[in-house]
Amino acid sequence: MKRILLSLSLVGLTALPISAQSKAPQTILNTPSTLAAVKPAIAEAAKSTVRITQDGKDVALGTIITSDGYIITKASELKSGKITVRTYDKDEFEAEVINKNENFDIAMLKGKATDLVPAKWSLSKNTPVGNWVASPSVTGEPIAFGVLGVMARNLPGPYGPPRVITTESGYLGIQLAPSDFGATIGEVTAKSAAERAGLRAKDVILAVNDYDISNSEALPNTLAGFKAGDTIRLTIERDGKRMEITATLDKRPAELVPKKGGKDRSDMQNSMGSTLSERRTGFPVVLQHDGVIKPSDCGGPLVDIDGNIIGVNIARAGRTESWAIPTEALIPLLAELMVDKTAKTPAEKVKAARAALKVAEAQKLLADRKLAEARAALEAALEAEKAEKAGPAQTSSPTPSKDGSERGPAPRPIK
Amino acid sequence: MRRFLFGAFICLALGLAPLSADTPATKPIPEPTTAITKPGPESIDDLRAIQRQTRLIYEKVMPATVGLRVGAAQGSGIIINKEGLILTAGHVSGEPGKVIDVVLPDGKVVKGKSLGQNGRIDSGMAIITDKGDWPYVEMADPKSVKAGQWCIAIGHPGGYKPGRLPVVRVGKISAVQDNLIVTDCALVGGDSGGPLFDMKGNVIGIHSRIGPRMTDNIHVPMNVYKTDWDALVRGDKVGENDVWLGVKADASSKECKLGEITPNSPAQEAGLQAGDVIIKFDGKDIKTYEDMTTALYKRRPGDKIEIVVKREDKELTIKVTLGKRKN
Repeated sequence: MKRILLSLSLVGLTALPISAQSKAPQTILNTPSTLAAVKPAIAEAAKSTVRITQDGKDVALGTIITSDGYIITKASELKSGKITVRTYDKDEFEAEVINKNENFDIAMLKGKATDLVPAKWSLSKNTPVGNWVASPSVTGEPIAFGVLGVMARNLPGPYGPPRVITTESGYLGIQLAPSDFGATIGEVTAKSAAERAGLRAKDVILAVNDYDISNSEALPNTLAGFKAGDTIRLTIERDGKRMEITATLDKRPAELVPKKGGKDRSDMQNSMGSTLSERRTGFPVVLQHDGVIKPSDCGGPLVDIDGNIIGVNIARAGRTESWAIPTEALIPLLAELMVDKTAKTPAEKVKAARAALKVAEAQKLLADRKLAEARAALEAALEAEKAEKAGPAQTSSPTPSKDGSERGPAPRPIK
Repeated sequence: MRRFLFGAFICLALGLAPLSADTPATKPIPEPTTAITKPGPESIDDLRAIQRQTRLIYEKVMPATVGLRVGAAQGSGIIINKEGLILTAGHVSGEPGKVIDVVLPDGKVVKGKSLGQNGRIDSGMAIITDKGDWPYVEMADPKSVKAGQWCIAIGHPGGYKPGRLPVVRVGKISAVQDNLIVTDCALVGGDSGGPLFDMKGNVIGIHSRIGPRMTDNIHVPMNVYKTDWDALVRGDKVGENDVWLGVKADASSKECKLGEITPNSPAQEAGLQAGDVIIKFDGKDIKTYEDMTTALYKRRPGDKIEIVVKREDKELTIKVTLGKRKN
C-alpha cells in the first residue's frame, strides 16, 4: 500500500484571517472584487450556460449546443423527476434526456426552445497551464475561478461509472512496486491466483486482455472490472522478454474489500474543504483546474479570461482539483449524442437523424478547413525550403527560437 | 516526401515535449508590475498581467520540481542547485541516508539519497546521487515574504502520475510566522515537500500540512532551512527533542483543549484531564495547541514547569515534571 504524504494540521492557527472563520472561507480567488474583475470575461459564455433543476432543486448546469434546444449536462447528477432548464434570459422550458455517454458522464438534453445561444468552442490546447479559468453561472456571475493546472490528458482506464468491489470481485494477489511504465510486481501473495499462474516479482504487466496497462494506476482499475472465476490474459515483460500468461482470478478476501462509506487517508484529505462529485473517476480525457466548483454546478462551460470556452466542467475531483472535458474530446461526441435514443415514431426518428447529420456536416466543414490550412502551410514550407536551397539565404525562413519558446503552446494573443 | 513530413512532425512533437532535466530553463522572470503587487485584481488587464507572470514562472520552475519516492511513500521536492540538492518536507525525506527515487517531470527516475530533517518544523533535504547538471531554482530572501502577496504552489497532488506534469495553483499568502507560511493554494497528499514560489519565481516555502478548510495550507519558510542549513546538508536530525508531556489535542476545538491524556505520562501524573483548556504554559499565554507545543519544545526532559488550565469555569495551576519520550 503506497502512502501519499501530507500531514494534517489538527491545531488551530493563530494568524488566520477572520474571513477564514466563516463556513466557506474566502480565498483571493473568490473574493467579490476578484470575481468582479473576472465577470466581463465570461459574459458571452454565460449566455450559453443554463441552470438545470429537477422538482425545483438545482442539480447541475448545462451548456447549450444548438439554438433549438440541444443541451449537454453531467449525466450522473440527474435524478428522477421533471427536468426544467432556465436560461440567461430567464426563459424556462422542460427538457428530456435523449442520449448519454457513460464514459464521459455526459447527457444530451432536448427541450422545445428557439433562439438559444450555442457555445462557441475553442481548443483547450491553446490555453496554456497557468492561465486563469472561470466557470460562469446562468446569471453571468463567476461561480468558480482558478488556474488551469494541467493540460488535457488521457486518464488510465477502464472508463465509466466506478466498479463496486465485493468479495465476488476478481483477485489476482500481487503487490506493486514503483515503476516507470506498465505495472511492476513487487510481491506475489502466497497461494494466490497470481502464484498459480506463475507470475513473479519484477514481472512488468503491460496489458490485461485488450486493455493497455500504461502505468501502475491502470492495473487495479482494470482488474476491478473482472469477477472471481474470470480467466484473464496478461501480457508481461520478464527479463526483457515479452510473454503471455493466463490467470484465473480468485474471490477477493473480505478484509481487502473496502468498507461501505469507508475512507482512506487520501480520500479523507481530498474531501477536506469542498464537496466532491459522486462520480469523479472513469473519464477518458480531462483537463484540470483549481476553481472550486460544487457538484451541482458541473455541466457548464469552462472559460479562459479571453472568453474562450475550452471545455465543460465534469467533476469536483479532489481538494486541489476540478475536472473538465476538453473541447477536443467533447466535440467528436456531440453528433452521436444528438441521435435521439428515445425517438419512437418514424417522424421523431427522421428528425433526430437530421439533427445528427447537421452536426456531422458542420464538423466535416471544420475538418475540411483545417485540412486546407494544413495543405497551405505545407506548400508555404516547401516553397521556403526551395528558395533556401536555390540561392543565398537572404530571406531565409525563421528558425525556431532557442530560448524554449517553442516548447509550450503559444500564448493567446491579447485582444 | 512522406518521410520528410513524418520527420518534421516528430521534430514538432519533440519541441512540445516536457522539458527534460538536462535543459535548464534560464529565461529571466521580469519584476512584478503594479498589477501584481496591488492587493487584488481590479480588471481583466490586471488578471492578464498575473497570468503572464504565472506562465513564465511555471515554465522556468517546472523542470526543477520533482516527485520523491521514499520506500512506499510519495511526496514532492524542488532542486535548488545544479548538483541536485533538493528541499523537501521533513516527513517526506524521513530517516537520513536512505536511497530514494527522484522522479523528474518527464517521468525519468534518477537515484537520490535522503539528507537531514528537522522533524519539529518539518524541513528536510535530499540530493540526487546520479551524475548530472540539474535544472534548479533560486531561494527567495525570507524577509521579502509578506502576507497579502500572490504565490504559486507546484507539486504532485496524489503523488507523481505518469503523463501529468507538476500541477500549478495560484493564491495568496494569508499569514507569515517564524516557522510557517499559510496560503490559500489548496494542497493535498503527495504535494508534501513541493515548492511555493513568489511572483519572481523564487522559492519561499515547502508544502507541509493542511487543515480542514481550503484556506489552511501550511508551508515551511526558507529562513528555517537557512538556520539549519549545514546540519541538514550533513544529514543530521536537527532539533530532535525527546521532551514528553503526554497529551493530545481535541481537534474540534480552536483553543488548546486536551482530547486525550496518555496513561502513565507526566501529564497524567500531574493531574491533567481530558477537556482541560490550557491557557498558560511555562509563563506564556496560550491560545492554540500549537502555542503550547512551541513552548513545550523549548524545555528539556526533567524540567519542572507550571501549567494553568481552565476546568469547568475554574482556573487551576498544575505543576508538571516533563518526561522523556520513549520510542
